[in-house]
Amino acid sequence: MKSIIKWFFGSKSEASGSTATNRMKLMVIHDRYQMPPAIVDQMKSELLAVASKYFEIDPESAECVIKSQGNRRAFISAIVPLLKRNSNDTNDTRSGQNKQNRRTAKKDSNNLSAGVA
Amino acid sequence: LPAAQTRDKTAVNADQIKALVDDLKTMFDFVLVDCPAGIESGFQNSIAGADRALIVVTPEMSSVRDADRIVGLLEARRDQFEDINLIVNRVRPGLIEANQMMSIDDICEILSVDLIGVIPDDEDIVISTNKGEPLSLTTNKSAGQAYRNIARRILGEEVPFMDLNKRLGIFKKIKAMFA
Repeated sequence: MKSIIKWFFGSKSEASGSTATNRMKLMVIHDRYQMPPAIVDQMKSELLAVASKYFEIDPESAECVIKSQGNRRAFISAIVPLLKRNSNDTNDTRSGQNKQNRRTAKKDSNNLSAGVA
Repeated sequence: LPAAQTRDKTAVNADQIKALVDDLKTMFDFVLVDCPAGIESGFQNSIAGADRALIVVTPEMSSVRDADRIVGLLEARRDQFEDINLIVNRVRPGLIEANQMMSIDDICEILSVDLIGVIPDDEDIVISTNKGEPLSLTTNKSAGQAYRNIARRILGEEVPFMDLNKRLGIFKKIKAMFA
């Protein structure tokens, strides 16, 4: 029924007004801070790298976005699920080193997902 | 002062405009300086003598994006301006109602500037400019009223914003419900 009425009035189903608002918010942040997407992606992956230095993280569900808040400012919101405390101490040389390498490799594969987020 | 139309816009510089506006200030209550679109030297010239800014934006992506850069440039010289206000022009209430146009609130939030006026898209503007008669002097409705409201707010009066949806016909209202 509703679709018939919609058809009759010839309205477009997609609410482009909200789309415009969301696109606009993102666009002005990028304009104001003059940041190319590559830099943003790099920053995100570095943030994850820092977190993974202290914790084992779940990179698949890590989320890192830049959002606007009032007063023409933006903030970085990073939600990084922590799996457990990283036991890698400075004294713990050999095994720690291996772990570090493994994590680094893992981290690289995560960069992509961070970029998409 | 209308925006420069001459080919050589570098013929005047910001200091000269400022001196000119300072002179005019002694003769008039208000000096309106039209500002060319964009953020080039024409913009810097126009704002040189200004102590108040009215940013005119339409509810479209490109316009809001430009306005955001303008706001950024004005904010960088915040001390110069008593007030920086926003006018949203060519608003189509029907489209906003149907969520096919950015709302006034959204635009204000994105730009973080105080609103001073909302002007509906009005075909009377075409007609009145054809005749060379200012719309604000010839009609009491719609855009003409919106212009006068802005003038009164500039003078410091508290004027409530017009309810633009009131002007939607019943048919359009029903249409908006199903959009």
